[in-house]
Amino acid sequence: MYGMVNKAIEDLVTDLKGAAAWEALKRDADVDVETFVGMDRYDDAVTYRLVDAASRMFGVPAEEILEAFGEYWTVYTANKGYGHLMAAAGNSVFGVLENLDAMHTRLAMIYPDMRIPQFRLIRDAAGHGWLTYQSDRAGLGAMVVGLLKGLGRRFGTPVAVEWVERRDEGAAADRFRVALEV
Amino acid sequence: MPSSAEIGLTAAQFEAEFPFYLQVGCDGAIGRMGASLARIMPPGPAGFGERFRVIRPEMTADFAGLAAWGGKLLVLESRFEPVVRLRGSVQLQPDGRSALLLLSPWITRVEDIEALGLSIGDFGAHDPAVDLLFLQQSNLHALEDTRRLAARLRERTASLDSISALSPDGIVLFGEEGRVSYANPALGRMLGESVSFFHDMTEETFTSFLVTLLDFGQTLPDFQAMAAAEDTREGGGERRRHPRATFTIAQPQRRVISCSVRAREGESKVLYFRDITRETEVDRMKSEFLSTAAHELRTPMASVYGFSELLLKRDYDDTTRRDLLGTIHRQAGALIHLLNELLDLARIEARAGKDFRIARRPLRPIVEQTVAALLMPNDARKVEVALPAALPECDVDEEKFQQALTNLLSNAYKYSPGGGAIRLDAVFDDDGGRVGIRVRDEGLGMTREQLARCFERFYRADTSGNIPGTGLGLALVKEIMEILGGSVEIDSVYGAGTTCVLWLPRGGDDAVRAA
Repeated sequence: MYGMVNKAIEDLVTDLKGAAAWEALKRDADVDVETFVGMDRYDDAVTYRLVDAASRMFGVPAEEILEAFGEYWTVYTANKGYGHLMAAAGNSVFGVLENLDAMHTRLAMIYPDMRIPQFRLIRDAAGHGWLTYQSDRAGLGAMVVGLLKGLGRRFGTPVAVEWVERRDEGAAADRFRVALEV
Repeated sequence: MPSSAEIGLTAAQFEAEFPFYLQVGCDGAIGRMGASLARIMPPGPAGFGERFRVIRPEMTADFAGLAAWGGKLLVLESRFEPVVRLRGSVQLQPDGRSALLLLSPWITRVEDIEALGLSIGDFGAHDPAVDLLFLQQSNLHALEDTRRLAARLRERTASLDSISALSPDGIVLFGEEGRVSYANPALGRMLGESVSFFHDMTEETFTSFLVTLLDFGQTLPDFQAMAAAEDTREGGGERRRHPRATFTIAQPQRRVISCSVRAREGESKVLYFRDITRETEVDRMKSEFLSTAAHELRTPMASVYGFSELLLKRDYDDTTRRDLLGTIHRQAGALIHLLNELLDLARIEARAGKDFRIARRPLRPIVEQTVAALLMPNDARKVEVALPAALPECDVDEEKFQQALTNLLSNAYKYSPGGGAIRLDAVFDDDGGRVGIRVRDEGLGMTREQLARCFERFYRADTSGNIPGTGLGLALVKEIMEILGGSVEIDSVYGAGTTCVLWLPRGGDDAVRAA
C-alpha cells in the first residue's frame, strides 16, 4: 500500500485522538515507522495492523473503522493536495464514479507497482448506480462504502449505499447500490 | 499495411478520440469542433483568426497558413476567456477545402482542468495530457513529502543539538571521511579545548591528542576495536549494552573517563565520554568506609566476646572479675558510642536537615550551657571562656549545635593530654555577616596531611590507639554546621595545638558585636 493511505490513517487518528494516541496505536500495531512517505510503498500488512489497532483503540469493529476511513479519505485527499485531482475526476457523485476507473488506470501508469482496484458503474433507469468493486486485496469493501458516503458529502448530495453482494460472502466481487437522496 | 478505409473512424469514434478537434474552412471560418472544445469556447465570431492566434510557428491565423503547415506541430492560444493553449497538428483534408486541427489542451496544472470546466472524461482516452498532470501532481507530492521530512529532520537535528549542547557528557562525531563533524561543548570542557579546536580533526589526530592528556601509566582504549565489537552486536535491541572502556587523564585536570562507541561500517562514528571521576571516588570511599567501619566495630566486639568468654569458662576472684566486667562495659560503651555516631551521621545525611528544629536563639547561653555540661573524666582543666558581653542571635538547632561544640571541646581535651589551656571565645568575619565560636588548645596539633584528612569518616590523627574516639566526630560536626548554613574551620600546628571555629550566619539586626 502506498504511504499516502497510511498517512491518511495517521491524520484521522491524530485528528480524533491526538498525536500521542497515534504513537500508542503504532506501538500497539507493532509498526516501527516514524513517518510515512506518501509516494513510498509499505507492506499491506502494515495497513491492516493499523486498522486492527484503531479498531481496538476506538472499540468498534474493523469494518466500521474502514468505513470511517473511506469517508475521511475524500476529505483528506481534498485537504492534502489531491483536491484538484478529485475535481478533475468529475463534478458529481456519478461523474466521479464514472471516471474512477480511468483515473486509477492513469495512476497505474505513473505508479507501476500500484495494485489498483477496478470500479465499474452502471446506471439503471431509475437513476440509481450499481458500482462493482474488484480488488486483489481482501476486506476493503467497507472502505468503499465510506468513500461513496464521503463523495456524497463532497458534492452535498446525501448518498444511500447498499452493499448488495459481498466478496467475503462468496460473491465474485463487491457490488453496491448507490442512490442519491435528492 | 491496412488501407485508409480499414483504419477510418466513424464520426462518433473520431469525436470520442479527438474531443478538441477543430475544422477550419478555406474561407478561414471555423466549421465543426469537438465537444470538449465546444464546452470551453464561448459563443462568438466564426473566424479562426478571430478566435485563435498561432503561437508556433510564426504565421498568420488563416487557412493558407494552416494549409502550408500540414502535418506539423502547431500551438494555438485562444483569444477568448478563459485563455487556453492547444497543441496538435494540422491535416489538410483530401478535397483541399478545409484543414483539420487535431488538438489537445496544453494544461500544466491539474486545477486548470476544473478551471476550464472540464473533467478527465473530457479528454481522449489515448491523450496522455491528464497522465502527465497526474505525474506532475505526484512529483509535487513527493516534493511536499521531501519538504516535510526535511523539516522533521531539521527539528530532530535542532533537538539533538540542544540535547548534546546541554549534555554534561562529551560527544564527538566522526563523519564518513573519518573527520570530526561535531563536538559538543562538554567535550571541550572535559578536554580543556574549545569546540572549534576539534573541527575537521582526523580520528588519528584526535586519538593522539587524547594520548597527550593521559595520566601516567594509562593507555587509551582501542576505539576501532570497540567500534568493531559494537558493529557485531547490532540488532540486539534497545536493552543491549554497548562496549565501554575507562581511562584516566591528567590534563587539563585529573578525570576518570568512561568511553563508549557507536559505529557502523562505512558510516559515521560517535564517541561518547562520561566523566566518572566522582562516581569512582564515591565507590572507593564507600568501600573504604565499609572496610573501616567493620574494622572499628570488630575491635570492641572482639574485646567483649573474648572477655565474656573468659568469664564463662573460668572462675576468677572478685577483683579480676570486676576488672574484666569493667573492660567489657567500657568496650560495649565504646561500641554504643560508635554506633550512635554512625547513626547520627546517617540520619543527618538522609534527612538533610529536615528533622533539625532550627529557631532564632541567643548564642551565648547555648555556648555556656555546653561548656557547663562538659564532663571530662580524670581531667581537672576548665575551659577558659572569653565571650563578649553580647553575642548575636543565630538560627540554630540548639541541640545539634551543642553536639558539634561538645565534639570540638572533647577533641581539645583528648588531643592535649599533656595539659595546656583550652580557650573558647567568639570571632567575627570582616563584614560581620558571620559569628564564629572558636576553640583553641595547646595540644598535639596535626601535620598538614593529618589536617587535610581530619573530616574523613573514621580518620584518626592518633594511630597509637591511646586516645579514645571513633573518627566520626569531626565528620558529624561538618555535616551539622553545613545544614545550619555555617561551616567548620580548623587550623593546626603540629606539636603546638589546634584551633577550630564553628561559623554561623548572624541571625539579624539585633545582634551586637562586643568591643
